[in-house]
Amino acid sequence: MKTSSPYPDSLEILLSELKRIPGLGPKGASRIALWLLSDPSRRSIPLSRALANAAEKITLCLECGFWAEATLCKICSDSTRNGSVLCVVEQPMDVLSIEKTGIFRGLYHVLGGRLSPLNQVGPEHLRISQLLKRVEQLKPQEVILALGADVESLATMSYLSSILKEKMIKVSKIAFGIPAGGGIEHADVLTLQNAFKGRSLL
Amino acid sequence: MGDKREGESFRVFCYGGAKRFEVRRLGIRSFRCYREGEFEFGAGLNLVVGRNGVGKTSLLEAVCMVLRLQSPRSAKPGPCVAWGERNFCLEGDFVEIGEGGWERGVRLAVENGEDGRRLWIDGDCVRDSDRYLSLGRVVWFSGEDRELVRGSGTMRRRYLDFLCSQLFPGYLKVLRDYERALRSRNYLLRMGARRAEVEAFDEPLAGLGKRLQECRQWVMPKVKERADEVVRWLTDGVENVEVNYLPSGGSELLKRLRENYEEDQLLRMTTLGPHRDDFAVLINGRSAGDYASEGQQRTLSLGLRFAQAAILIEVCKQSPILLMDDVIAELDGERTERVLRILLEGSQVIAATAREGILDMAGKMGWKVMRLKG
Ligand SMILES: [Zn+2]
Repeated sequence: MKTSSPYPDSLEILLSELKRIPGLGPKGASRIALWLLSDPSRRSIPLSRALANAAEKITLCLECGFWAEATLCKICSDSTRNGSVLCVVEQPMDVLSIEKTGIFRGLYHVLGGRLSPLNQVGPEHLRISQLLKRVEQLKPQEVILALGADVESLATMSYLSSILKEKMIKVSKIAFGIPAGGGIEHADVLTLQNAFKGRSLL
Repeated sequence: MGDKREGESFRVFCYGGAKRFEVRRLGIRSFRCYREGEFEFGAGLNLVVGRNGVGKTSLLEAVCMVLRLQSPRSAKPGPCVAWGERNFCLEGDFVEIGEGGWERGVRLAVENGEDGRRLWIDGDCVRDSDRYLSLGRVVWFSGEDRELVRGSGTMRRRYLDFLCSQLFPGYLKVLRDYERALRSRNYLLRMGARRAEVEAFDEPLAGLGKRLQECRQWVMPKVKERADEVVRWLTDGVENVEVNYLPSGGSELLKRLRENYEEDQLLRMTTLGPHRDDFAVLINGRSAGDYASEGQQRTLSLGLRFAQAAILIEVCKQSPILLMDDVIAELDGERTERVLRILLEGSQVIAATAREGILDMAGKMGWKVMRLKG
């Protein structure tokens, strides 16, 4: 038998949407809902506007695959960035981690994942053909692979380096002081800076 | 027996400075045939007696599981959960005893099953298993150990992995990663993927494989030396054993994987690497699987198991708990006395058997006897 909730229906709907956020349980969802609704004009209304606005405007940059509002992201449209070095990462979040270090001034390329045959992810599911097209256009002096350190990331790195080297491109990978199995989002600023400085040719 | 080695102070285990490690109490919930159980163990030899199917092997398995987080019987935790339950829970009180007689207790607990694995050391929940696994060690003797000598390579690889995972912290993680790389590569070969996609996994496979083979390479000469020592002692110097490591792919695994691609493609699986490693067991210079008698094969398998214990003591400076399933009462008369002499050297032993005939001797020798009833 189903027990009916004491909450109004609209609150129930809000709670069930909040609970879908990764890492948020029922208690956390209730706490956030309470906070949002206790001062609607300053909390829930601006947030709902910001959400709707972002959902409408945010897309992936046509060039690099990072978050963008126009066809190009802020990094790709920045003329001071060095187009002769390309840094390949797995996820948009990784761009933020590297930007925080301030050590890299070139352009990025976001793959949108990594090769994972056991999860049915092949090269055609990643932005690899776009990478090759960009490499032909930009003719970069160096492509830096800044992927994670687990089995699938290593395989992706191996795959990319062999197809890029066929095109006579200089390929390097960042030095990992990061524990094997971790992605670069777990690395702190100093570790990432050292990883870039100590990168090695493939 | 009156032979010339009688009275000689031969010892299989060199305890020099090694600590003894023992289980004192084990609590079991929802594990295999146990709903709820509580067991206490003595310091030296413990004999678990009961008819077949009463849960003797599961009790030994529980001791192994709470210490090593793996079962010698199945690779996944699922089959260990009692029927109709979601998770099993094991809690053991262990004690480490140093040379001066000082004792240090530690309580280990594990819960595993559908809701994932959780570990506790002295009541504190721990996330990383490395420290947990560094605390205690076991050697598993089974009535089916003859398969180590005459069975397929799978048995011998499991033997090596079980030993190496107790000697080298991190070995198990490398092994799991290797297996993942292998499954990925084999999947691609099965699906007829392009060569570049298959070969993308060569480097991870070879890198991880090399680390596994280095560990195995390091431990094999020790196995050879110790197994030979034990077998000479058990057979009064009549038999000698040789154990030779046969690494698959050799020292240049990456290069060999590339060279072997066509064959792998044809067979639709990876044919080289540590998953195909083996070691040859020779008795008096001849293949023991083909030429040794049943009795000789049993002696050799005992030699291999005691070698594990001796190496753990030597390297980890701590005695493992010896878990013997259908082994002690099943020995023939001649070897019994010598095996018992080894067991009396100081490791804690938990032995299970359905044969009541051994009870007389157990009583005389002051073993702790535990009777299991259904
Ligand atoms: Zn961009």
